[in-house]
Amino acid sequence: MSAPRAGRRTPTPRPPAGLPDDHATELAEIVERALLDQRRNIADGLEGALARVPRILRGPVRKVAGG
Amino acid sequence: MTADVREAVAAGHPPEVLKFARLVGRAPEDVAVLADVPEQEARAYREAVTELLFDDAAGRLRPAAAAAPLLPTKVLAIIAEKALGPLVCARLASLVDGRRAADVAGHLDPPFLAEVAAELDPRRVAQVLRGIPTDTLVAAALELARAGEHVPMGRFVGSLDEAPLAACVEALSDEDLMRTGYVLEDMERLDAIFELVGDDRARRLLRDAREQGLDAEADVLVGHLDAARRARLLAEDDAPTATTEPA
Repeated sequence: MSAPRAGRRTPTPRPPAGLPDDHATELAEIVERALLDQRRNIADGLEGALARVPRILRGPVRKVAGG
Repeated sequence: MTADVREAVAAGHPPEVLKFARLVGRAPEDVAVLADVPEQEARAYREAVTELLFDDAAGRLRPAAAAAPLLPTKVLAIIAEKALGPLVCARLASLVDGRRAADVAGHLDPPFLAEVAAELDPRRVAQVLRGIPTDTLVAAALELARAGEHVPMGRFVGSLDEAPLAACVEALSDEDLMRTGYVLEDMERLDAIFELVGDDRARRLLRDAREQGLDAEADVLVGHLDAARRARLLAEDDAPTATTEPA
């Protein structure tokens, strides 16, 4: 259960074209924040997960997970 | 974050605003500008953001998913509840074999399972839910309803096979069915749900909704029903004629 390491692969979608620029910018910032929150959530979760893996299995798990 | 649909409707938020708010973990007011664009565009944007979030998570969680088969399901369930949390579990559930995900789900407490269900990838929710026993699904549905999580319920309930769907419809209150129906992800399933609800309950549900000021919800539901059912329900009920037509 390695720490996250993948880079972003999908570009941030453009908000609907009919929105005024300031509203579109607000939405894009909200989406960016949601993405960062999710990444932090994943990093925190994975960090705690390995400690819960039975000691005898930690080596194989690390090997498969690349940690 | 939970979205109270009644308050949101009272505030004038259409379903797409509620769904987007739930997706990005914000209050509906924060994304209310989406009400200013056509529903189809708002939906397309939500789907693109869904893809962004879930694909980004998949890229980060694939190594952990690869290690999951090494661990017993009971151990995975403990790790899920004690370390990973519902969001990470839901993202992982999309990356592991569906049967194994269902096995792990069987070891989770219903409240936690409900939280996981609320975060499942909407593109794969049906696949993940398919292997979970009906009793467990009903318990999770009731937990979601209790938490006011009607947007995820709209995906969850709409993605169930017929038997668990029938059990959930029977277990959920009229109000929760109404709130869930308002934000149902796949409105094509609304008739199947109303078939299970039955005409008597449907009339009561619609009548009570209007008495409670939930006209917007009632209109959306009635507007998406099959024409024959709609005519039958409205003909035998005093509810005002709804003018909303399916998108």
